[in-house]
Amino acid sequence: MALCEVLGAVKRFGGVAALDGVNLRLESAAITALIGPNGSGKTTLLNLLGGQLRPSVGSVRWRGEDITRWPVYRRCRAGITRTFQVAQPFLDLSLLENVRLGVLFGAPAASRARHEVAVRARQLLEDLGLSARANTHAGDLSLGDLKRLELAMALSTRPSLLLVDEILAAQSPSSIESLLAYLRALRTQGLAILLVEHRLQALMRTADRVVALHQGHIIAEGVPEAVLRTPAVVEAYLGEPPP
Amino acid sequence: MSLSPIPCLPVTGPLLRRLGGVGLALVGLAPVVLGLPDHLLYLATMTALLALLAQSWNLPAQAGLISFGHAAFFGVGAYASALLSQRGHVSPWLGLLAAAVAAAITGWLAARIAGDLPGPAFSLATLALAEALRVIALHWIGLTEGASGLVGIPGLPWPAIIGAESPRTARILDYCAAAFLLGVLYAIATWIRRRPYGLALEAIRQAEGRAGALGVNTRRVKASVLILSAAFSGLAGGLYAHLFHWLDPTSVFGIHLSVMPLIMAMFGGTGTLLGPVVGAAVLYLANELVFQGLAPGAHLWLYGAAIVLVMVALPRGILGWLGGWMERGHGLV
Repeated sequence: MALCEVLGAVKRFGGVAALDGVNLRLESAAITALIGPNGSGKTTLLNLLGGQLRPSVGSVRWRGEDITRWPVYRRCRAGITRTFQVAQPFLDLSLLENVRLGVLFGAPAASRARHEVAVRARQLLEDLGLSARANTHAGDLSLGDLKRLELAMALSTRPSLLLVDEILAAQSPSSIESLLAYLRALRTQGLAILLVEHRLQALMRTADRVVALHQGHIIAEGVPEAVLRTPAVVEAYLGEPPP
Repeated sequence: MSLSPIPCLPVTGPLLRRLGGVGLALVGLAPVVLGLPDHLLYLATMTALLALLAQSWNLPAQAGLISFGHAAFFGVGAYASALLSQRGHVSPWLGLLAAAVAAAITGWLAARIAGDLPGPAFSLATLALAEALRVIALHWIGLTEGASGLVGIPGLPWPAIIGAESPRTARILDYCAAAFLLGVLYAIATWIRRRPYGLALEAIRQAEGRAGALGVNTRRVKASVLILSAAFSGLAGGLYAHLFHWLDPTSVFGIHLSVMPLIMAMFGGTGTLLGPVVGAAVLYLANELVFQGLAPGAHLWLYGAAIVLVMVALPRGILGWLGGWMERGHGLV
C-alpha cells in the first residue's frame, strides 16, 4: 500500500482543466520531484494533496483511506504538511511562535507537553539556521529566510509526507546545498517528500523519482536522468525543436 | 494572505502588562468604596456594562472576526432574561443564565451562517443578523409587545440578609454584578491569551489558511470564540434588562449597541485586553460628564469629533499609543 495516492484527479477552473486525469503514488523515505513549465498544474496538484482544493473528479488516498473530502487541518494532523510558494508565515509573531503553533496543533498529541514543544520548536529553528533570530518577528526576515521558516513551520507538525513548493528560490548557492542535504536527511528518517522545483540541476542529485507535468497531464515519470532526456519533457520546457 | 484591517499589537510597556488586572480591580472597587452619589453610581454601572460588551466584542476580533452586530447577542440575552423572569416568573438569576445560553446559541448560529465568510462579508452578515432580530422583536408582538417594549422587568433579587432591602444597597450590588462579570471576562481573556488557543486566534487573524495547514481547526476555533463572546454579550443584555427594568427592540437590538463596542475597543486599543475597558470608560464618561455639559443639544457632535480626532492621531488607540510611548524609553517601570 502506498503512503499517499492521487487517483484520476481532474481539477477544472471554469472551462479550464488545470489537472486532467493525474495519477500519482508517493512512498515513504523517497523524494519525488514534480517538474513542469509554469501553468502545468504543479501547485494545483499540491493543493489537492494538502486539501486547499478538492478535485472535480478523482480521489486522494492516505494510507489506503479516502481523504478526498478531509479539511486541511485534519490532513495536517494525519501527517500531510506543506510549504507555500508565496511564504505565508504569521508576520506579527516571532519565529519561535510561528513554529510553536504547528507543534501545538499539528503534531501528534504525545509531543505537545509544554517543555517538549519548546525543545522541538528551538531544534527546528536551529536545523534551518534561524535560531539566532528566534525572537524576531517573521515580518523582519529576508525572502530566503522566510522560505526556510516555511520549511521549519511545515516540519513542526511532524509530518509523514512533506510537500515543498519552490523552496530553493531566493536561496544562496551554499544555502541550496545545505537545504538539499537537509531534505536528504529527512528522507533517511523515513519522510516522503514531494518537491516542486524549477532548478533541475539540483533535482538530479536529490530526487529518487521525477514526475513531469504539462498542461495538466503527466508526460513522463521515472529516474531523473531518463525523465529529463524524454523528448516530450524537453519540448515542454524549450518549445518545439527547430525543423 | 489577507491581514484583517485592524492591527493587533500586544500590550507593550511592562507597567500596563503587569498592572492591567490589578489596576482594573482597584478602579472597579472604587465606586463601592467611595460612596458615590446615585447618579455617578448609575454612570459607573453603565460603564461596566458597556465595557463588558466591548470586551466580549474584542474576543472574536482577536481572530479577525470584526462583528458589526453584537447587538444581536445583547438583545437576545436581554429579551430572554426579561421574558423568563416576567412571564415565566423565573428568578432573574436563572434568567441571566438563560440569557447567556440563548445568546450563545445565537452566536453558534452566526458562526454557522457567517463564520466562513471573508472579513467584510462576515461583518455585514452580523449586521444583518442584528437588524433581522430587531425587526422580529418589533413585529412578534405576542411575545415581545413590539414597539411598546417590556416594562416592569423585575430587578436582581439580592438576598435581604446583605441589606438589600435598602434601594441604595441594591444599586451598589447591581453595580457589583456588572463589575464582577467584567472581571470574570477579563480573567478569561487574559487566560486565553497565554494558552495555545490564544496563539491560534492570533494565527487565524494573520493568515487563516496557513493556520489550518498547521493543524488548527479554524472553523471550530472561530465558532467557539464567537459563542463565548456572544454568551457574555448576552449576559450584558440580561443585566441591562434587570437593572433598568425596561426595554424595547431599539434599546437592545439597536445599531448603536453594535457600533459602540467596536468603536470603544478600537478607541481604547485593539489587540490589548485593557483597551476595550479603557475605551468604554473614556468615551462613555466623557460624553455623559463633559460633552453633555458643554453642549447639551449637540453633545453627539463632540462625541463624534473626539472619536475622529483620537483615531487620526492615535490609530492604535489610547493603549496602543501608550504602549509604544513606554517602549520608546518613557517607561515608568
